[in-house]
Amino acid sequence: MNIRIILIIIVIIIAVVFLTGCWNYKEINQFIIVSGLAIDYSSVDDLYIVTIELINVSGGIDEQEAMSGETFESKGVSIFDAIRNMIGKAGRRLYWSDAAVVIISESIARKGIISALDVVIRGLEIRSDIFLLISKEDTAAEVLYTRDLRRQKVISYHIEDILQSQEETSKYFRVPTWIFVKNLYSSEINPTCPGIKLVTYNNTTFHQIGETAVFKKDQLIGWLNDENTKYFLWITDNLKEGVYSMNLEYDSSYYDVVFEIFSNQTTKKAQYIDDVLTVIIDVQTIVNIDEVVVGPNASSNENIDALEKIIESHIKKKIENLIHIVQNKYNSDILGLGMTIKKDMPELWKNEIKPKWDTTFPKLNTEVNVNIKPRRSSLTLRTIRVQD
Amino acid sequence: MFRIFKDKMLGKNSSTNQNYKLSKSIDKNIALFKEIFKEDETIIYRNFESKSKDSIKFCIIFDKNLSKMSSINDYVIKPITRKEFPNDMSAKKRIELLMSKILITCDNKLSSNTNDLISHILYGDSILLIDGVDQAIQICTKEWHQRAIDEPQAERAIRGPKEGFIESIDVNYTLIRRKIRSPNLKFIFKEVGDKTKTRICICYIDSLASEKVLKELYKRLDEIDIDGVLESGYIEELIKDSPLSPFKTIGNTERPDTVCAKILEGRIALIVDGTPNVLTLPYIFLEYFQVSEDYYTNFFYSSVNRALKYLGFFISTSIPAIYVALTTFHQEMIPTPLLLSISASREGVPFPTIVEALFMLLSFEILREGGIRLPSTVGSAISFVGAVILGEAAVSARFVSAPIVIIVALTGISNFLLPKMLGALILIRIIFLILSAFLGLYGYIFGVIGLFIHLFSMRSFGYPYMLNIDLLDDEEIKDTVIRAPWWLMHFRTRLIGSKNKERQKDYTISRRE
Repeated sequence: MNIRIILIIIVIIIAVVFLTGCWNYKEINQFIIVSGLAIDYSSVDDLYIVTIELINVSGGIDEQEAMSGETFESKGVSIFDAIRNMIGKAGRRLYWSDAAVVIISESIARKGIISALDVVIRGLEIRSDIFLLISKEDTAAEVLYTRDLRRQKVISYHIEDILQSQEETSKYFRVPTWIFVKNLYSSEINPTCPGIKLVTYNNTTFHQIGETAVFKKDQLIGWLNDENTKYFLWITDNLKEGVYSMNLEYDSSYYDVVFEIFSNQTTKKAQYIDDVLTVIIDVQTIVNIDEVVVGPNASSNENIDALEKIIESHIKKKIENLIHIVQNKYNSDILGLGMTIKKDMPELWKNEIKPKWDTTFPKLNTEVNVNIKPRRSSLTLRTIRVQD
Repeated sequence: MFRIFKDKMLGKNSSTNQNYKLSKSIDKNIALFKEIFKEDETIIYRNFESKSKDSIKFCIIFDKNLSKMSSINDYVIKPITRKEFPNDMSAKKRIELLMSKILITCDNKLSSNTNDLISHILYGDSILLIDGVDQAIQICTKEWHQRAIDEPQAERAIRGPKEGFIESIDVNYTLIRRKIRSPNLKFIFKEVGDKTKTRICICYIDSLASEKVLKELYKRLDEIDIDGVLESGYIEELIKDSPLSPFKTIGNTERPDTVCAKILEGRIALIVDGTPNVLTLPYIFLEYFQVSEDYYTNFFYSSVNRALKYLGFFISTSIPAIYVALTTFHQEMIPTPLLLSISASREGVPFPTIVEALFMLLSFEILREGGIRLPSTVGSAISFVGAVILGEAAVSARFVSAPIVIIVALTGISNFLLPKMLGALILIRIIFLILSAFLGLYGYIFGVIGLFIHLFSMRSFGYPYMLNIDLLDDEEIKDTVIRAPWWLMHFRTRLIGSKNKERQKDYTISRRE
């Protein structure tokens, strides 16, 4: 009786220890942590070039020595092949779960980004929330090779830091790969992602994220410049907070007005009246007027109302301009207008619009309403003036 | 199984106690006691006679170290030697006269049971033998030295009484009696141990304590058949439920206020002579987390301390296991900066993480056990060696990595939040650690499930061990994870205090609000 129970317990322990699927014991120092990768394509020898940044953990209690990035490059007929070729150079097994960014060269993106993204999404170890960037330089590898030594020693994490502070600036946005791929799958929206370039100033090279890559299906077809990127964020309701500055004309003199965006809510609605399909874009922004250079007295209600009107019409014009560019220059629905129509009138979308969306989209009517609500005029009531 | 083994080893049952009988002749009786206390120089036989011509012979037998000689002189020998006994008095009358008029000590008893008499001599009482009587009088003359009432070292309190139990059952009795001055508080004395004849005292309030538990307790105490009981731990292990569990199902404390609080909740206390540790029962899991001071200080502060203790339980059992599981199986779960710093500190360390963890935990336990029984001057040297050698040197020599030192230190400190659970914590920690070294977080979760199945299956004298942990009744939660203010706790604990649930009348609350 007892012996039987003991035997059963032994069998269970053996089965649990040796037959379970989680038998992937690995010590933390048996692998090298990859922080980011860049993918290029060399048309000379028809090979993919994968550049990865590894974190060189030189053991030591000395904090200064704790870690630094180290860049490796290898080639292969496919990306996976190139990654496998890397192990010979890196020495240990690569650990991908903590990779933060994937940078893809513009040439691959123009040809079709799926060839590069497949391994990122399919791979077991790489997380699908890794941030996607398109290099505006000649190659993607350049971005990882350029070291900005004043800051983080690991470039990929430095780039990640820049992306994480998106909310404070609202000049660019971050796109995790899974969102990009989700947008690729859907017919109602085309994917976008930010670009990265190198800027040299005072003999130091910086990484700068900005502009927006416009995709049509999986191909890059052009860029939105920094200014339009802002309005793009405005329409897609990605604007969190940030600073907006504008020149405006009032009483036949020019003023610089700077305001801080507190919160923004953009709602899109589709309307079908008299056989005309219109997408209404409502922008509700709460701002705080930060800086008025030689301008009207910001505290008096009349002036604030006047200011509001001018700002509203200014922003409205800019947004309409962006929609115009997207509709006519690129003919790619990166704004998600199709999604709005599908949500509001699914039957219409399915039966009539979806099949000929390509030709309908450039002609789609839009209506932009901008509503700016200044909350307060910061601490001062009036602008600084030199006494006459 | 053990019983069969024991019977085989002993062959036959060993000899029973010889039963001596007192006779009417005093010389024979003295000879009998001299035979019993052979080669024992501390036993004094003092022969004396009464005043009259046909004097009656008396003999008083006592232990010179345990008895108070001056009271024997003044209250026994002196009055008897000055008294004349009429000749025609019968033996029965003589004893009556002695007991009522002559012996002016407070506690006298007539007895003919020699075993009883012997044990009384050895407990400091005197035996008075009278010629022509086949009985003897026990006279209470106990006196020995005992420790002063002191603050219990293991259960100190900042706020609260500073007195603790001592080794004498009589003093311990007074400490409890003085706090609860109610005739409902009952003390039942018993004796256990063939050789030691240790006195134990069962103490309860009869309008609160459950008869079922009392009956069960008597039954279990009667089943004890052991030669000696030197500490309450003997009795605890002999009568506890789930004897193989590392968890206590009978509590122990050195604080009289704690015992009284438990008696007032409907529990039963068991005082054992010769030890300051008083047992309380039934004992449930929650009582590990309750300290007497919780009830004396501000209830917010007490609730925070309670929460800390639960956290300490989690840290102490689980942190090493979770660390090993994360660093050897689930690196994906560690945030990148932490992963990097762990990776950096593991660089060049020769052992796997599990070996590191076991080694450090073992050395911590060695330090703890080594430090406990040393004089405090040497103890500080031990802790210094431990801190310097194990903490600093082991890391800089790349023997272990720095995070494991932090983990073990944290675990070790959390240990002491629950000093009564120490043994169980060590065992659980090692089991969890080994499970998670084999199976990662799966193993850890298996361990947790196993632990909870074990805890929930236990009972203490019929009461569920995890009482009040499994439900969120607004009345019962008042003394669990939080400690509600006294004016809100108007009921006793569920089940244990069910005989009389009302602790305070409702008006105290209405006055408050």
